[in-house]
Amino acid sequence: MSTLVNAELTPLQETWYRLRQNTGAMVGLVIIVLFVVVAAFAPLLAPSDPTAQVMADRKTPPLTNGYVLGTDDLGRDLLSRIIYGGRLSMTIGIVSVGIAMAGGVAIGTVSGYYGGVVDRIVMRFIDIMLAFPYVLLTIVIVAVLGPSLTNAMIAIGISQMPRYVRLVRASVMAEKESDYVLAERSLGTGDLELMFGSILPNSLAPVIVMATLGVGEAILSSAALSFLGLGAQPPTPEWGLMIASSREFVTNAWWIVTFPGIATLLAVLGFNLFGDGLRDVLDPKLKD
Amino acid sequence: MAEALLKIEDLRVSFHTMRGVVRAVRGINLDIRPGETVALVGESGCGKSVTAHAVTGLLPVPPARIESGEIHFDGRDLLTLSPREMRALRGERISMIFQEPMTSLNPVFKIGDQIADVFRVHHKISSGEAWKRAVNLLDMVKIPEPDRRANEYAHQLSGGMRQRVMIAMALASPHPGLIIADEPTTALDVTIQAQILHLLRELQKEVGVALLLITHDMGVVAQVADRATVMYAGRAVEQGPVATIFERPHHPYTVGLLNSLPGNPKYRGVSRLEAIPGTVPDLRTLGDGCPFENRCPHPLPKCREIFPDPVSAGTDHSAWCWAPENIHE
Repeated sequence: MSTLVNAELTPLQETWYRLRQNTGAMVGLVIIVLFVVVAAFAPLLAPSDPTAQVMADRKTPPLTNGYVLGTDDLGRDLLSRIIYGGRLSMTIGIVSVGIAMAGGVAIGTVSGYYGGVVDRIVMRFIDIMLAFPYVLLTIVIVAVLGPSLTNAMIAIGISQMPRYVRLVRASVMAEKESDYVLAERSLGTGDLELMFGSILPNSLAPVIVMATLGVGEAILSSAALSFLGLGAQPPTPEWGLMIASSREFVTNAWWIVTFPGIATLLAVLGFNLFGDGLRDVLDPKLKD
Repeated sequence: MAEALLKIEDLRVSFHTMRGVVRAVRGINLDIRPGETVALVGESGCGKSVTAHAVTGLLPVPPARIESGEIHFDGRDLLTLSPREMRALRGERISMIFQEPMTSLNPVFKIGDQIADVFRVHHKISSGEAWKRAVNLLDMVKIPEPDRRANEYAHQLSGGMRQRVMIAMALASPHPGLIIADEPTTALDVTIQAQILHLLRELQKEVGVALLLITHDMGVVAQVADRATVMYAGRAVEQGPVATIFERPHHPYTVGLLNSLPGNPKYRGVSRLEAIPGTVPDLRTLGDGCPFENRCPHPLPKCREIFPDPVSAGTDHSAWCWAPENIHE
């Protein structure tokens, strides 16, 4: 039956068809869509300005005086801050993964395609990068560039890059031996076109999976950097920063630290669920 | 006689591997005139594909190394061309069709796009125009409903269809001069084989392109080729017009190949086909004598020592054998 279905569908339709049957992936997708929509329409959805301080209403508990999630120690509406924070987190996730993917895919493709000396030099350099613990490497890069949200994105992007290089290099090496590559070469296709026009599209499936999972990780990393004071700077409504600046109130105003944490958790969970689902769907070994 | 389009002179190719030097091609001479079909026949590992890849410049260097020889195409020596010039020539004047239609098409692109790509690269035309021409080509290789098929992916086509698409891609070059078909029908079943061969032959006449056909199947040779070169262990052992080779073979290996054809009239009512005894020699340790000596039914003492010069066996027909008269005994 499913082979009949396959014969009629384009690869994209087939992927979507299989994805719909994966509960985890669909839950993840719903969460992602929810966060993206909220981030996109933040000014419309947020009840008040995320940086407006109302000193009289400091540390108001949730569902009190019209504050759904309460207020923080400076009387700012938590819900608004979390909604605006989502904007930042989505941006950070996508931009840093974009940086990592663009660099990693380009380097990995060239390295895997040419092999030999080029490959050896690139891979040893990647080995050096992988020898540093991920968080340490990120912190070092931010420390060099100076703490800011933009630099945090660049740092996360650079630290995540080696894994894309490895992954793409491996698939390109396997794919470049295919008959269709030889066939296209015999028709006069040049190296660049072969690399990025023919081989790369066939090597992208694992990259897509890794990138999806990477967005969740990037959100988490940026929260961690902000928590350490190396990412977003106050009064930016960034989730990690919100947790950091309110941790001293955890005993008497639990909501200030809890809700940004839950938001981070949900966002990361959404991307991880969707990424796992994509892996199941795109893995050719798991196809019937 | 027309000027040769492709002229291979004394081509020698070896592979330098960890376990020794494999001399895969040991002095092949071959010429193809415009519009002609020439077959390279021989069993696996005899060097026929290596010869073809040397022409297209697709040999993996290293481990391959072209030791000597010249390959003239349209008056230019291909072995002295830069990679860039060679790439321009591939697809523009020389195209290849491969053995495995199952894997020779890119799985992530529509077949129409793949053919259109060849147009885009070599003709410098708009993508809309390229697509139109791709559909025309699909029609030309007799794919039904070319408009719809152009939008399909390789996995949606049968083996015969894919081979037709490969042929269409080979014909998409601006000035097709030579098509090299490397075992184009080996992976297809017999009924489709005949269709594809027929199509190749027909298109070749229509477009006027020369065809270098690589095969191990004497039956295919008989169907399409004008002339044939029989190869054994890297050497040409017999060369000439197909008609005279089939009628009066002058090398024991050719005789063996012909004898193993199921269509041979002498097998009427016989239950088993004849095979050539023995196996192909190891190309790493093979000496300078006749490589077929150990399987030949009538070996002479000197066969082991020296490879013979060609013996003329008629117009344009020669065999590399010390005693071609023996085989008809």
